[in-house]
Amino acid sequence: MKPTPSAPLKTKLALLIAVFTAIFSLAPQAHATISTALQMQLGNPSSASTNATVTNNFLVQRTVQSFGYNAHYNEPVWASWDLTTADVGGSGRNSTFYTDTNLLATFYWVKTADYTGSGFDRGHLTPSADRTDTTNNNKLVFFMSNIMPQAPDNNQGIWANFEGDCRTFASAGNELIILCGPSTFSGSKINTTGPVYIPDYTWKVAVIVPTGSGTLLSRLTAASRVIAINVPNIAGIRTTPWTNFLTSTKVIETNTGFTFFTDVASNIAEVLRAKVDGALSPGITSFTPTSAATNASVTITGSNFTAASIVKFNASYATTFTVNSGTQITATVPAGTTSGAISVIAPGGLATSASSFTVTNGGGGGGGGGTTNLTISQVYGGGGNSGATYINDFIEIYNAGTATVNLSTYAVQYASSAGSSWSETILNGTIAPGAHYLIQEAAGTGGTTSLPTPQATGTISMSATAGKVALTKTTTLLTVSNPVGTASVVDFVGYGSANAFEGTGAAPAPSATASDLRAGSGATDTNDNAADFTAGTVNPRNN
Amino acid sequence: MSPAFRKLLMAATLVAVMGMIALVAFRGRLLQNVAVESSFTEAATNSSAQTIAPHLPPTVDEYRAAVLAAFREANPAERSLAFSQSFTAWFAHDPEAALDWLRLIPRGREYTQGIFIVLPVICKNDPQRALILAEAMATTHEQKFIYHALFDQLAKNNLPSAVGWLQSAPAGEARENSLRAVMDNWTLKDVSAALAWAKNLEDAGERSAALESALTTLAAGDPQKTIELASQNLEGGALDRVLQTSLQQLAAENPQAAAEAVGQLPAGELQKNSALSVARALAAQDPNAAMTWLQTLPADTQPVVLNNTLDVWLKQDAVAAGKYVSEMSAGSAQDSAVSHFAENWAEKDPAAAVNWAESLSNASAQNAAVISLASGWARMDPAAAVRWTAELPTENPARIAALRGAYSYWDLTDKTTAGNFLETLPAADREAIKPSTLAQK
Repeated sequence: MKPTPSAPLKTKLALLIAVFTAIFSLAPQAHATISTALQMQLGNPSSASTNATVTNNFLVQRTVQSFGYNAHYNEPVWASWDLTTADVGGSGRNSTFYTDTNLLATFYWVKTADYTGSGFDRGHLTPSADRTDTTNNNKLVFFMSNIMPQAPDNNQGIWANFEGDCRTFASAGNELIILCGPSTFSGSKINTTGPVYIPDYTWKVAVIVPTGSGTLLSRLTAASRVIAINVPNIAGIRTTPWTNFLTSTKVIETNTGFTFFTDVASNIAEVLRAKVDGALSPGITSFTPTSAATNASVTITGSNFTAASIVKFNASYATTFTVNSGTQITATVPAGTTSGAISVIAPGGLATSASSFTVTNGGGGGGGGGTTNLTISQVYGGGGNSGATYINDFIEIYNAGTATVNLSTYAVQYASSAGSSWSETILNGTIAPGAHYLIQEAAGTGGTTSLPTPQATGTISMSATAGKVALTKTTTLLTVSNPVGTASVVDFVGYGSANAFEGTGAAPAPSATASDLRAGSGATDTNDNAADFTAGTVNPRNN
Repeated sequence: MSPAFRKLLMAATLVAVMGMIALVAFRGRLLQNVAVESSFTEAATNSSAQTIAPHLPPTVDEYRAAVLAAFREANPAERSLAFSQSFTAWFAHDPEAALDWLRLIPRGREYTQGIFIVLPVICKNDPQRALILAEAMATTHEQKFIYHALFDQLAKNNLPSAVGWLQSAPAGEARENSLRAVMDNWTLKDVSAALAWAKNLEDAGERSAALESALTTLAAGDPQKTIELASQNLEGGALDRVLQTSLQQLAAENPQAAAEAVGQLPAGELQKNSALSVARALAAQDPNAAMTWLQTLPADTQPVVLNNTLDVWLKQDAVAAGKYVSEMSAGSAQDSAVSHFAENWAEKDPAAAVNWAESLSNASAQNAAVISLASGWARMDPAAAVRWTAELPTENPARIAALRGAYSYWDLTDKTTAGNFLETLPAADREAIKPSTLAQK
């Protein structure tokens, strides 16, 4: 005879089923809505994906937060969320933690009981108090997938204080993107043999931007405030101010292997990564010599240079530099750079010289004395389109220097607005100072007029409204979506909705009837595509 | 054999079996690491590893090789995990050899990790040695966090003894960290005694750190008394931090008392930040009373406090809050309030926010409302917000700014569809709202 459960056992089973049913029916359902993109607008630091096979870097996007989950550590390794005063209301704090049954079935679903008796707090990544606008939004941050083990002194002390201060920043008229997570796992688990790994540190990065129209991302600048803290997950720090744990986002990148601010323009992101809150802004007062050839040593004088991490000549990174003191840096002029401002990125932010440094052998193809400064002076992708006058697309370059440049090693390269696949047209001949050089590209079916005789001809079919053009001093094809700063790139233009550009923004979107023209007949180069170009009458020049 | 003895025997057997399994598994892992290491260094070789019988404990060379192998891991998370596990095992087996090695390695992340592994263990049995080692080994800001851990451990074991050990921590950052850890423990047990002791510390920096710790703890239970004591005993950043913590707590318990206390603060960041939570707490009880109170604050603080009051009022009675804002005197203060209110209302109820904006009689306020509500609406439904904004009359001075703001959300959430819609707009619109001027890539 088969044994049957005794009556009490039956009762227990029924009770167990009822409890499970209750838990799962009460748990909030995580439905994605349009606003999920807001939570992760500065980027996905671990390149987490929804690929079910990548279990240690699994992306979850919800209305209240985005996070990367590690099914080995059984906890999120980062979370990102947007905070404004509209997120803080009167819903109060939920009283229950929920097993996140929305995670993949192949994952271990951490239960609240896994933490019981461990001595570690169930530490929220996205805090409960940041999501009190509605009861459901508050419930969504009580999934155990939003929880990491935190020492009580950390969670209830520094962490809580900083969370509160972030809400104060929001109340004071700011919008914040906050990222946080655990780092540096030593292999210890809560409850010794439990499923959840204990981090040695918990980190947080808050990017603070005054409220205004449009997304935070659209209002972000290199001057935006960034607070990064890295807190040891230990006892004895309950009442220590969070300011004792300030660091830079760059340090957190080193500790975690993540890359922050990947969706931010690279020239802004590199400044934000270097910032340490409270550090004084650097400034450049002078540099000497004011002109020199590549590989020469330049002494930069100013203030607050301590721990400077980047020195740039125009758009090129100095690969060799020494911070001699808080007021002096010695840097080597990098190969391939062109004349322009010198900038220094330090924990206090960005410093840019008021005057330009002149590279006496810039552009690479020059020689025989004088300066070379080649620019992309005009781009036009509307050739042959409906309504166009000209049959062909074209790219035009200009020699703003004082020396003739041999272009035999040069190329112009093109990629789509968000692309990383580049096509090129190899150049030839020379370009004299003050001259334009016309490169004809693909023809379309429309248009009525041929271009003036071009100096070089290619077959690149350019977009009329958005794309990226690089002038390179080698014919090696570029491989990255944003090659600004790459040594071989002499000049670069992103136009329309291009995802890469020099300076603060791309050149305006041209059309079938308008090209993008650089000011000063091609000579004005402040390394800011948005400022240097205007869309205007198509005017191909070949001399 | 008695049942109790049988259970004991079974338990002992189980422990022994598990220990053997763990030893073999760990040894296997070490041998793997040795194999990896052997390709890079002569410190350990495959041949030497293979000659060791698997049941023997690893040798010092094998431990060292395993730790060195961790250094070759490029992924920082994997590296710290591998280092910690191998170094912890070595330290458990041969603490002096592991410690000697740690003292010689470069002072990077692993060195700091190592300090946190070895010193708490040593401190359990020999606090004096742990503190001597800490003084010699913990030299950077991050490494000195070890004093928090050591003194927390000492204080939990024996508080008076921990207080006695404080003088063994080097003056400055190390002792301050130690003090905070001791005070964290002490104040949870007897905040009065801790306070009395802290007040008598001679060094001003140490006294400030100790008092801040004690008063921060006290603030949770008695914010009013904390405010009084902090004002008498602290200054600078420590005073501001304790007062802000206390006032937030007081605002939650007794908004009227908090409002009175905030009113007595000198104008500045502390007053402004404290006023924000007080305004919210007051508004939750009576928005009109909050409005009356905020008029007593300095003029430059009032706008942001008003915005916080409106946040709460909006959730209670949006129409009444909207009426208040619409009846404010025309000017920058009204424009600021309109802007904040319209954005938040549109996020919850765009139709109502639009109706309200259209009802505003003042042109400047109406422009502010349109620009902000477009963005607030776009946070939840960017396509609808952009389409509505695009339909505004072209002569509306707020149209382009509103369109640009709303479009940035659509571009963020669905670049392709947004881009397609952009192409349908007049050239002037496209030029004005192009995303190229945004900070995004």
